[in-house]
Amino acid sequence: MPEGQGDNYRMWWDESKQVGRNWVSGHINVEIAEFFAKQIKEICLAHGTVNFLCDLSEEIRPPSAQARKIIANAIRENNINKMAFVGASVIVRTVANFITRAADQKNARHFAKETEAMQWLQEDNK
Amino acid sequence: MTSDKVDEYKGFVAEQLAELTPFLQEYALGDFSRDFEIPEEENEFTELFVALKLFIDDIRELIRNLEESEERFRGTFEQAAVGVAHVSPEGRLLLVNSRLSEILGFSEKELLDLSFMDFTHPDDLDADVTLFNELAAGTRKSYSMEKRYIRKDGQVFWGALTVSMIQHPDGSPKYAIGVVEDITDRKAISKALGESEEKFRTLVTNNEEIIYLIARDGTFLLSEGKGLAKLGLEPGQVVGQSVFDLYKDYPEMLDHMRRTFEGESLTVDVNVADNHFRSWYTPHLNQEGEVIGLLGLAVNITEQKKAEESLQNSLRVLATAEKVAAMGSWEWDLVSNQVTYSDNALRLYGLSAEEYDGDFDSVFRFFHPDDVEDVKRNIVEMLAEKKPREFKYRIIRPDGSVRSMEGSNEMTMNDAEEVVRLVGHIHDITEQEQTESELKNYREHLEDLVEERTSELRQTINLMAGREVRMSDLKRVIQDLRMQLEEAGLSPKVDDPLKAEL
Repeated sequence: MPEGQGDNYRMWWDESKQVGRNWVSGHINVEIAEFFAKQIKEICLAHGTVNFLCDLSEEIRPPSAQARKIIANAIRENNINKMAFVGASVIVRTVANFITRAADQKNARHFAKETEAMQWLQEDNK
Repeated sequence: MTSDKVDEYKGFVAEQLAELTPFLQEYALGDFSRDFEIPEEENEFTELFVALKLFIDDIRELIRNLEESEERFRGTFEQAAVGVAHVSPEGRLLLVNSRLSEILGFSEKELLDLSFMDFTHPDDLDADVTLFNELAAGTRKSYSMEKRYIRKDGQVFWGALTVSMIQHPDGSPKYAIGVVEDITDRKAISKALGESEEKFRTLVTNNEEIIYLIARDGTFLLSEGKGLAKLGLEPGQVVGQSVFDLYKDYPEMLDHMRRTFEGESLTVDVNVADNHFRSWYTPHLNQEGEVIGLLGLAVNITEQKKAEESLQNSLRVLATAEKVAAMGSWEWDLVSNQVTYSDNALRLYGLSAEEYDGDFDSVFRFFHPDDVEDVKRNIVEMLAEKKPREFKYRIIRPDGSVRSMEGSNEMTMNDAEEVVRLVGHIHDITEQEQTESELKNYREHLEDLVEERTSELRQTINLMAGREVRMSDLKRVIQDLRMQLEEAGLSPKVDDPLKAEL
């Protein structure tokens, strides 16, 4: 099962919810961005077209231009159906919008709570 | 949109921008230290504000990276163990590091007023300028050369120079980066190494011995030395060939080599094509200590062998001669005070080699007590006079028998005319003395006999007086007498009385 983490980031496949998930705090630098890109690719290879739940509730410094580019490319090049963002600040939410738009990911939404986000992601499974 | 709405919207925009304007003014002056606040409530300006914030963050990161890069460059440039300079396409120095200043003897400020041509040795200038011009013209991307530099104090040193050109985006030359390493020591070492190698080659080539290097697989890598001619080979002739093929008929030699390949050092005598060689084999090791071949030195000892055999034969002949002639020899080294006796000399003394320790003082214990002082006196006088002399003495053998000896000697002097060595011959004259003694006794007996017969003859002559004696009878008597005397070797002595009588 693709999974990996560092001190302030983690990405994994939630078997029970059948979604890819990540959690991050602090600064998303190039190294973390490359890690997320690699994990997204492995999760998609293992599970086909997938949904992602991104927990952005911690205090996060916006990623640099290069890191944004890496993440946008990873979203565009893999089979991601929906992306749900939870708990982001105005700045992070806006940056997430820039990235998903750059990645041509139209099926992305922001939620205040994880349950709402999960519900939206699993609507298609019903 | 009504004018009220437009005014309301203008007011909203002015309000939003008013928040931002002070920060933009600071950013315009290059001060990116302060952050503006982004309202939590999203509106039409949120994305603009966030985008501007990201932009400012990116500028900050670029500045930080640039400063770090500059710091790294400065550190590398200044701490480099080689001289580094940025040079304009015309050859003027634009930037230099302290090492270049150090090796050229100019201050950094002085160097910035010079071109590289100013401190290049005249004999190397043309080549350097030609290459630099090709670099500036874009026909060459870089070049390296070893050239001589002239220091500020006029001293010349050798440097290894590498130059590459940094170009503008349009391909035109921007500036060149030159790196100079002082290789004076390396040059000196290289020269010394070359001379040393030449000497080694001369030594190896002109050596009477044979020197060879054989790889682990048996291939000759080196084969030099005049000694090869004795084997009908030219220097280097067997290089590339296998020792196992060339010397397959010499299994003992190949076995020595295999042992050397296993790490053993050997010194062995081998016979190849009627030549005797003394060979030294030693393993040739790499830096890891593994045997990668063998180094061999072979000295042709054929002549030495012949000389040794000849010497052995001479010694055997001498020993035989001494034995037959009842003679022996000795040698006294006055420096070490050691006396060496030949085997037969020891035999004459009734000694074995084990019973004689070679010390000079122990020699006298063999002499007859009555002769010791006389022998010592002879030796002292002989050394004082520096003239050899012959003298007789007696020795007492361990079995108690007394033997008479006659000695003669020769002296060897050093540069200071001091006697350093005596070589002597001894002759056992015991039997000779006995014979002479017996002969003397016999002579005395004969003389008595002659005296007796002469007396008889005299009486006979007297008796014949008045009688006619036949002369033939008298001659017969004389003839008999002469024969007896001749047998005793005394005929001259007995002639006289007879002649007198006759």
